[in-house]
Amino acid sequence: MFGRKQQTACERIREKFSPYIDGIGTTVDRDAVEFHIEICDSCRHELASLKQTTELLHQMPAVRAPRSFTLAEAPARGFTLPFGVPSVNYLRAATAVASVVLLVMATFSVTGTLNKTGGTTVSEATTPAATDEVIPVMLDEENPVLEEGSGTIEDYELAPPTPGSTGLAGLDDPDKAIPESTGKEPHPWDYQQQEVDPGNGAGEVESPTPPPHAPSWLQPVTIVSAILVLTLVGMNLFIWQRKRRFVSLREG
Amino acid sequence: MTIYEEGLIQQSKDGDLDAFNLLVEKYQGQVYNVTFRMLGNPQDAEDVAQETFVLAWRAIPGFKGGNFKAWLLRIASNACTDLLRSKKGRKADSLDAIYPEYNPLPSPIESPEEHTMKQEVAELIGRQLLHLSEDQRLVVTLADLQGLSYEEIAQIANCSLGTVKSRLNRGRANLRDLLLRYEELLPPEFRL
Repeated sequence: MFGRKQQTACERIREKFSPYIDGIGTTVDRDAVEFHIEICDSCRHELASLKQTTELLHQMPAVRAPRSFTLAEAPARGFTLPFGVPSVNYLRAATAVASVVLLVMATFSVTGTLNKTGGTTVSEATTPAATDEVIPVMLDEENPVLEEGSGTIEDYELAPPTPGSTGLAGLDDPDKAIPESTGKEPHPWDYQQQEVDPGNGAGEVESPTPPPHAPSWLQPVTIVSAILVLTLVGMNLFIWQRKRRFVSLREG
Repeated sequence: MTIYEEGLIQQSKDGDLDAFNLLVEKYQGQVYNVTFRMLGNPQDAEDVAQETFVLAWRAIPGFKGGNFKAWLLRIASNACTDLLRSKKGRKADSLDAIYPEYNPLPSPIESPEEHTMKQEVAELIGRQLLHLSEDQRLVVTLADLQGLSYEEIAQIANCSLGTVKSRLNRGRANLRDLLLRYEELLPPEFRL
């Protein structure tokens, strides 16, 4: 059902005709051919016609060269590098290596395999430089954590405004802290202005994890590899074009 | 290969153009015959033969010994293949066009009539050779027109001995079938 078709005896014998005609081949093969053509007319006629065709070819006259093909001047030779290897082979090897390097660098750039990961502390992360920016923080030490159901709505009421004031403590006196709730439990949310101290690694402040970034050397190496690959491919194409030069010259 | 020829090859490697031209003069006839039979066009055959020797000059520093004739004919064969492939994409020359045999060498013992008839038969066979596939044409040309051994042909065609025998078998059989169409043009003793 599958596999090579079974060869007939005639097909197997006819494969030995050329060596038989040319007087080469093993004695066994010659005997096999001579035995078969005695009993097979078709193969005998086939062998005879092939012999005549070969004889016709042998009698073909040689064609005289129209002119001498000696070289008038020595064409430039390609140089060979160490180990006797032609330069073009080194060029191809260099192109292959540079292409692999470029592919690896590009893969690292895309997948971020070499990226530095996040989750670092504030002191290690390259956070923006400290400014006078004020951010509200919750003072856990001065104010107890608000527990569920621990206070009532009255706890969060502001003190009644004093006469002559706008009722807004911040506008009347910017330096004054927002008034706390009066006569009640300390306001659980007490916002105070606090300057960010970048050197304070007390762990009290949690800044967002800085985005991962690629090593500084990855991009230049990728660019250099890309330029190298393009240059080597261009050189390979130039050499290939030179080899086919005689075809274009022939066509004018 | 003789010692003298080995010396010429070594001098050629060292850059001696005169020594190389002596090798060219020895092998140019064979190279031209192969390119002519492969391409069928005298102009193309001339160009490829010249290119063969230019390529051989450049490549001879890498020749590591062995059969120099086979090495040279392999360059010629590859050059013919390159030209035939480049021509495949364009409008092909008609294979039935008559490419006259280029001044075949006359035999001193035959009459002009015999010489003319031989030339006509040679033109017929040369035209039918071009109808064979490139692989079969090369093997038939090297074996039956150049008289090379199967080992040399395997080296030139860069294939195994079994492949050479197979291609030669099929090439001869196909050429025989092509010639049968013009049997009346063949000499009586060779009517197939």
